[in-house]
Formats: sequence, C-alpha cells, structure tokens
Amino acid sequence: MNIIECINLTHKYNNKTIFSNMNFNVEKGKILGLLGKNGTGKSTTINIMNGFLKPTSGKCLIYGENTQQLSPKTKAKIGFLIEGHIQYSFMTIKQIEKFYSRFYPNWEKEPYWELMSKLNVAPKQKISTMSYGQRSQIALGLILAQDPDLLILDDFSMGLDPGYRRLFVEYLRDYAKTKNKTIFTTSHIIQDMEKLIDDVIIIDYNKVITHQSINNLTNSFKQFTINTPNNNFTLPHSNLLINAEVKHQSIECYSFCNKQEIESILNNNNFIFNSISEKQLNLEDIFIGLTGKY
Amino acid sequence: MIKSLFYKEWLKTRYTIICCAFIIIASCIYLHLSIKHSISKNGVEQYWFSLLYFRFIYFNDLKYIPAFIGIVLAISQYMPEIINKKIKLTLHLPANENKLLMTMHLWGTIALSFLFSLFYVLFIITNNALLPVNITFAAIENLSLWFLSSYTTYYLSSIIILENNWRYRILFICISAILFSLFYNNNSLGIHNFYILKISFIPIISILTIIYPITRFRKGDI
Repeated sequence: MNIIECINLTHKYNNKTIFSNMNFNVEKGKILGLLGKNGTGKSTTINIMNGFLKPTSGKCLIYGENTQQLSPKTKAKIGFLIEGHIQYSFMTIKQIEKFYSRFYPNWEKEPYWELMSKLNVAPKQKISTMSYGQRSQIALGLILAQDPDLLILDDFSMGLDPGYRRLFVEYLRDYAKTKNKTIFTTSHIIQDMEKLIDDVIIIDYNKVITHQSINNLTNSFKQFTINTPNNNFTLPHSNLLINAEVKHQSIECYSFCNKQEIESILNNNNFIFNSISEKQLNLEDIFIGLTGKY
Repeated sequence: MIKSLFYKEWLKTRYTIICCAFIIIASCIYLHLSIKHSISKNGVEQYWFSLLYFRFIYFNDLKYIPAFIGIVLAISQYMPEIINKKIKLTLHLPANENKLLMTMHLWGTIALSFLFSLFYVLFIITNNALLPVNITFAAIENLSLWFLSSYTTYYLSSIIILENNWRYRILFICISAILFSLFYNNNSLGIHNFYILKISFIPIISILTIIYPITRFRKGDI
C-alpha cells in the first residue's frame, strides 16, 4: 500500500524549474530518504507534501488525499519535523506536551517524558533557552507521543552534534521498525541517512536520478578505476560511465555496470587500458558518484 | 481544540495583556489626577463650561492608547508565529486551518474586550467621581470609537505581521492608515448617533483579512 504518491510533480520558482515530472511512491512501513544537493528541491518537495506549497503541476497524495486539501483526520496521522527542529520556543517542555496532547487522539506521553528524562533540563525552562540537541529531542519526543503513522522529517540532522544525531537516528529507526511506521526524510548528512533509511531517492537539478533500496544501490553502483598505459587519451563515450574524471594515468568513473560490462564498453570504444579495479561504495560516495562534486 | 489554542495564545500574550492592564490603570489614574488638577486650577465652573460648550475632549491624551494596545497584542501574538515560520506548526495541527486562525483572532478579540472592559469600568469610576453622568456618557462614545480603532489595528497589524512580501506589507500599511484615520476625525466630545454603528463594519470586515496572507502562504507565495 502506498502512503505517499507523487505524480508528475513539477515545480518552478519564477520560471526556474526546480524539478519536472517527478514521480515516486512510498510504501507503508518503509523509511525513505530524499537526497539531493542544495537547491535541487528537497525542502520544496517536503513543503508540497505538507500542503505549504502548491506545485506548478502534478499532485502529491498522502493516504489518497491531495496534500493541498488534507483533512484534519489525515493531518493527525502525519508527524512533521520542521528543518532545524523548530518548535514553539516560548513554551516549556511541560507546556508544549500539554498543548499538543489535546489535538491528537492517540497521544502517548510516556515516550516523550522518557526522552525528556534524558535531557538535563528543568521542567520550567523555556525551549528557547535550550541547545539544538535538546530541542531535537523535544521535537522527536513530541512526534513519538503523537504516534503518527507517517513521519515527514525535513533535514533532521541540521544543527546537531554527532551524539545527538546518533541518538536521533537510533531512536527513530527502532521506533519505526517496531511500530511499522512510514518515514519520509531529508538530511544533508548522508552517513546518518545510511543508518536510518531502507530506500533512497537521489535527485539532481530537474530530475530523479535513482529511486531504489539502499541494499540494491550499494550492490549495483560502484566506482571503477581504469588504468591506462599513456598520458594522452580521450574519455570513452558511454552513458553508462557516470562522472568520469581523468587522474594522471587513470580514469575514475562510476557505473551501475559490472566489471565485465565496463571492459566491453572500453573495448567497443577501442580504449587501451591495463587494468580495471572496482570499489564498493557507501551511500555518501554513491551520492557523489551520481551527482558529481559540483 | 479551542481550549488548547487559547492556552498557546495565553502563553504568548500573557505578559503583554498584564502590561496593557497596568497601562490602562495608570492612564485612568493619570486622567483622574489631570481632571482634579484642571478643576483646582481653573475652577469647576470654568472646567464644566469648556466641556459643555466647547465640547473639549478632556481625555485626549488617552487617544492612541487603545490603538497601541491593539498593535502590541498583535505583535505579541503573531510575531512568534512568523519567526522561523512556526506558523507551519499551527497550520499542521489536525483542524480546519481557517478555524485555527479564527480561534487565534478570537483570543485576541477576547483579550482586547477584557482590557477595554477594564478601561470602561475605571474610566466611569474616574469620571463619575468628578464629572456629571451626561459628560461621562458622551466621553464613552469617544472612547468606544477608539476601542473600535483598536480592534481594527489589531486585525490589520496581524496581517501586516504575517505577510512576508514587502510590497504587500506596504500596501496593507497604507490601507490600514487610511482606515485608522476614519476613527480619529472627530475632535469634539460625543459622537454622532449612528457613526459608531456605521464604522463598526470596518473591524468586522478586518477580522476576515487574516485568511488572505495565510492562503498565499499555503500556496507558497510567501
């Protein structure tokens, strides 16, 4: 069952196309990460999904409802984390729990207070006086107490130190897997995403580059180093070799092909080479390999 | 929902409301002392004469206090919502968005009404101690007009704060200034019978204006 369906989503800001005809689904129980460079439309996608932005064309459905007109019942099923763990900073941890609890029928205060007990904060301390890390735990605690079926997290790692990032990821993954929750998230720290997500969508300017499971991606996408006997050569032409970069007497490139396929591409291009070595990549390297460094 | 939203609005505005209540108390004490001073200086006959024949507004110093209260209440209520776009949190709450906004406005309206009730009571006590009832009634008409201006400034300040586009903001400020001036073009004690009734349409219509910036916000125009 698809919890999120984005169909032919296109968005432009002042005639500048952010993405066009973007399609993706998120199945129930999956943790999906949206990765992309700055300005490729990650926050734009999240804003469309939360109904804070009307797409230029196409539509996004959550639980079958257009996100532009989400009913209160559907909103109650969605936990939303704003970039930077923004919360009502004029409240204390007690006041904010009291405030939200009346809106959500499934409110469970125990997970919230369990997290709060780990923070060194006084019950009367205002959220505005707390550190980023502490605020992230409050935001997480509130989402867990809400007990939503779908969590939409906009750059959850922003402003957090490694300890709090780890805490956030571990708590969240454990919660989602135990309770069969669906998560759609973005983050600019890809190592964190690798520990959290099942599936990944990588977007670049205007398009979705890939959408698949982390396991498939790490098994199928590799870096190849092609050693050549001479200094002067032209790069072989093939769409299957991605982001090829010349380095002295070698070429570094990325591909979804296996070693044999790379060899045949080079042979078909009459490219002279000594050896090819392949390297297994982590998610961050895969991201760089697919989108390039610039 | 209403109870919970009122709780949030109370947390944001409580200090402002308390400060405004003190300003009202201080204003009424000032007015009392000022009337007393004028009477002792000029004599009671001269003072009454100027009120009855020249229709002099003896509490003119308080003229802009209600509007000021409306503006500071709007700032204390809506400024925290736009810092870091926290309005997203409010709009994500599981309730109809227009209902949420109107409930927030309802809180502000109740807070202003409470403050103006206090103002009325203290004003009447202050006046009746020194002046005839007829003068107090005429003064209440002026005061009511200023209170209506306060509701209007509160509603219009809210949309100016929530608006993120400076061109729209300047447009709203200009419209607000024109509407605001309609409440202050009377320079004599007492108001023409139907003027208050006629002008009360301005704050009533202003209530609904909050939907406009929020609709634009949801479309992504802000």
